[in-house]
Amino acid sequence: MKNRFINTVKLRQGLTDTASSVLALILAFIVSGLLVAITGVNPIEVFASLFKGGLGSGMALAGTLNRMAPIMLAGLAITAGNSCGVFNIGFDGQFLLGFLFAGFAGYMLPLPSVLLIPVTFAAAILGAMLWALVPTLLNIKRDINIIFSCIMMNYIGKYLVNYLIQKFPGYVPTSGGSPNIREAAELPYFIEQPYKISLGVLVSLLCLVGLYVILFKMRTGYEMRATGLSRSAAYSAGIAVQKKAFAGMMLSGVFAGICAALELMGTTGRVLEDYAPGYMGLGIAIAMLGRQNPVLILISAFLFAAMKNGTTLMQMNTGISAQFVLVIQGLLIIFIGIGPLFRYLLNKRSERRLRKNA
Amino acid sequence: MLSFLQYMFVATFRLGTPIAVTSMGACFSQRTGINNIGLDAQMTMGALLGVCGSYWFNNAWIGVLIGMLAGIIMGLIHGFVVNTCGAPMAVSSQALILFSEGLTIIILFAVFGNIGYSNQVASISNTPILANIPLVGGILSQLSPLVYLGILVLIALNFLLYKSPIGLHMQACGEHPRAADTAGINVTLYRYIGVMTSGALGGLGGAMLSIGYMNLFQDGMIAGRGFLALGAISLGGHTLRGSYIAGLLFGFFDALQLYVQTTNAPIPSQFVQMIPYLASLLVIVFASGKNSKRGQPPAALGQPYSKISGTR
Repeated sequence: MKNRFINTVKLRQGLTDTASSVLALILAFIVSGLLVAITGVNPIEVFASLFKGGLGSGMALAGTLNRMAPIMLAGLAITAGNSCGVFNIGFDGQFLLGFLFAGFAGYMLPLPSVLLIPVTFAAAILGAMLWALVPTLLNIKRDINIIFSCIMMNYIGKYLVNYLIQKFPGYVPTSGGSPNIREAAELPYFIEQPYKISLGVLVSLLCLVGLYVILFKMRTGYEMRATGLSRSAAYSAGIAVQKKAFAGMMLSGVFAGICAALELMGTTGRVLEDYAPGYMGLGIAIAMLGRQNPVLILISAFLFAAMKNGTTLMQMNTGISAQFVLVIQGLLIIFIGIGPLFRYLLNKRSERRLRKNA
Repeated sequence: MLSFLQYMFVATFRLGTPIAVTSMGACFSQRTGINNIGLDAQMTMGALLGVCGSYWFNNAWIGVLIGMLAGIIMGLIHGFVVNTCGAPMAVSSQALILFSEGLTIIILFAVFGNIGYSNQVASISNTPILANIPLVGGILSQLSPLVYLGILVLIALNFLLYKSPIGLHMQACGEHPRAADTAGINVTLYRYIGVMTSGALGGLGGAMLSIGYMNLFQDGMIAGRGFLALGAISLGGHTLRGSYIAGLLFGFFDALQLYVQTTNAPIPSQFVQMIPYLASLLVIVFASGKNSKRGQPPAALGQPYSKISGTR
């Protein structure tokens, strides 16, 4: 009896959550449509080509899936930090260092593919963790605000990477980046027919499952989540909260590194100067929409990847700049953020009706 | 040597004031309990709408006002999403940053017909009235009047927050909103005032860059200065004065960095560009420690307080 009660409550909660997410999506499209209409472009045409470019054909779908891999890793990185109560705003710097380390490994090491790809992943993880370690240690040893040091490390990392790219053997000035990585380091396709799907998709799904297992099926994960929910309560329960926060930041760094490796081996093929794909913003958005739920993380990562993938066709058909999708994404997050308002208004209405009936 | 000092003085205030003003505003908002991470969004909108206003009315001061208004609207949205609806602050801030980045393109295209930059508009980059002051007039008149406005705002807000009853009420909202509410203080109102002030000052900071320093808007011109302003708060020990001075310190390092670039020193340019960030990090490493008496953020920072989010 009690069990059934919990299930209906959970179901209702899930339904209202879904309803408010769908409502937020609709509102985001309406408002951004109005904004684009101001510039004199037909919004329906814009959304149609965005949809067609992201999901409209098998090839578009495959492209979206391939784009999803690094985007989802960014979401996992932010989720891992948030679960332990640390907000990893240093993702961008960690990503760039991982990018550089992976590029160096993929370019320098004369290994067969079977060895080179794991080594490149490991190099990226090492680079990203190194960059996550500095703010964490500064926080533990000198009590320095982790947000501040992460932001500074992002900029330091950006300029350091720009400098080190020039130190690659065989660097060509004004090429905008390092030389290409070895062919053996490029990610193979795990499905070739009918559309090419990169191994990165499989890696990203494994990482999603991995994070779920760590957070929800292991003792460490339980302690991490407890730390994230209430540091003082976790401390009172005998959990080493500082260690858990440290672990959260490192885990976030690992995912940032994998994200960078996927981007390098699957998309760019070399380390680029001033590279800013904007994954941190998307990662934060995914982490917030996903709320530690693997299915929701997968759905939102897919949605953002589809939007990113659809921009090329949208730009070609309507002349609207690719940055327009940022408006949709920003509005979507804002409307999901004000979800409690919808719920509050709904509850108030039903309360009033109850009072009337009584 | 004298000309170097003169350059450093002028450049420090020119480059530092936008960050300092934004940082002061965000610190003010933090004191009432709302953490505003999306300062980049407010600065971008302030810079862009400032240029638009100056273009529409051919008057840079009206541009500044419109830029501040744009910042206030961004602040209002942030306050509503974070405080009233109880969404995590990072969510709303990131959403606003994404939103403003995209909106920039739409507005630039709608108003100027370009995508990357605006037309050149009326600007206020120096203060000719001060030129008549003997000895220092020549230097002081090179600075925008907005630089002086920033200092006046600092004095006013400092008085308001630390010396007036209203300011104490505001601080109570940041330390313990429930206690403040019990004492009859309107927490929601004061928090909205806090976050809207931060929005206005973020807009002012942005407008300072676009029409107080240059005379046009370029896509990406804010370049993370909002995050620097956020860093300046913790560098300045979470006080208004401290964050203002820390913001100017960023300006100083930035000026130094630009100077070193012109001297052909045998240092790779990337390391020179790193100076502001590395120096700030080192400053805070040496200034803090377990035993230092640095200011703390308010106790209830980032905790929503409203009926809708179920926290009241």
